[in-house]
Amino acid sequence: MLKPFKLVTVDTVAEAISAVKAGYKIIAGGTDILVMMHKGVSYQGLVDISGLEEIQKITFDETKGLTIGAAVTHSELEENEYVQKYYPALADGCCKIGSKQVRNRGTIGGNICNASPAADSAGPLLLYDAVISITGPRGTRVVDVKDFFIGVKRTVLEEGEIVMSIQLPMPVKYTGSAYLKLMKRGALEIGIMSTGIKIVCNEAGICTDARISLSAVAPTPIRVEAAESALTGSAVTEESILQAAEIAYETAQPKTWRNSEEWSKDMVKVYIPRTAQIAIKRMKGEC
Amino acid sequence: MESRTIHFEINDRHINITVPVHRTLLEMIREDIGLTGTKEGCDEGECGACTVIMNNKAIHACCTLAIHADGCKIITIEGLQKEDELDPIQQAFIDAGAVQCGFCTPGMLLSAKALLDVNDLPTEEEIRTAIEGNICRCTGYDRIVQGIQLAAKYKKITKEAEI
Repeated sequence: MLKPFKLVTVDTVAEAISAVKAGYKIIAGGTDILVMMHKGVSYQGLVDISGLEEIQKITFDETKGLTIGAAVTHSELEENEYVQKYYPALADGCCKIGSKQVRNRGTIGGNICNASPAADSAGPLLLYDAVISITGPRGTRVVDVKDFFIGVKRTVLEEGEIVMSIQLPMPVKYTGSAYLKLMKRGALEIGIMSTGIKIVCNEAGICTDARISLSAVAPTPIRVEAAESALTGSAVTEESILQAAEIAYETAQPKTWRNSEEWSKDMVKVYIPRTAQIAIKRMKGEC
Repeated sequence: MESRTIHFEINDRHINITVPVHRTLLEMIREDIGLTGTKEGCDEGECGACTVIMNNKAIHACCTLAIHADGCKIITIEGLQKEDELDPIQQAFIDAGAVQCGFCTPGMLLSAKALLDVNDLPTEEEIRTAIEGNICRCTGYDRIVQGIQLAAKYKKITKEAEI
């Protein structure tokens, strides 16, 4: 049984901001917060933002790209045709969160604000240079996803601020991306370690841009820029992928009691090439 | 203690009820409405014993607030059987031997129903994904997967008979 709390249900963003400023904790899908509350964490009050109209939709535009409302569920994302076509790593991540029941309630806004180092939407968002729209008592601001996480369960959100939406720019023509999560059971799991890759090539097959993300091997989901550079400037080969994997391996610093830290780190070297293979196949339209 | 009055539909029954805001959907279904077919297992969104269908989606009733049912349509295990006739999914579970201790069965059936309602002929992988949030400690899952495959066949036969 949950301990009693006060609840504010809001219809407008302004009401939500004042409740958050007054110390109310946000609830949307409840898949993280209610689990914590079942375990004995108590809050003086919750503010229910799940009904806010502004944060419910996924919109796509071929010039602007994708805009995801903070209350969009993981199920809606994994099933969305534009996510599948243009941002497949995000579908890869969302479809591995929790279980069907969790994905039907849990939201992307909640996933990033919970700020787990293993958050499965975060790695893919890093690949796509996502920008997070935040609104609060002092107005609206945007934050690059790579600057959003500042520690385990910590974000740049200041008092009274709420994540409203996440924007993903339109990918260029020859782009391939993928996200792979290492798991023991295959469902209902916090990832042991996850890797994400985005490769962009020109007409001649030269890699012009790359993104590599690692999850659950640092206090926050991270990008490995040195590994990205190793892939950029020439054709993507087995050697360049192995070199990127080696750099990513050196960067990984897992701190966990859930499994052997050595194993998490070693698997970075195995998973970067596997993820790269899927990304390359997708770029070529082979899968 | 703060309460709210909510309106919703459960197994085609209209309900008007005043519940404390900290009541979970699971507690309301079992204790206030008296439908005890929905089980409490882990109470933290891991085991799936409390699975119900809300607005066509399988969800955990333990990790949903009762007030979030406001305006929704809910199906619990008691809503599957129509008069004396079992739902094809229930019959298929019996015929496939997909039930042992039975504790996971209501949740398992509802996850299966949520899948079969949108997918007439799921692949084995789709079935395993649909029930990935339902833990069974008896069957080893194979019989359950076979039960859901059989249910898809029964539903097809029922559908063709209706045409």
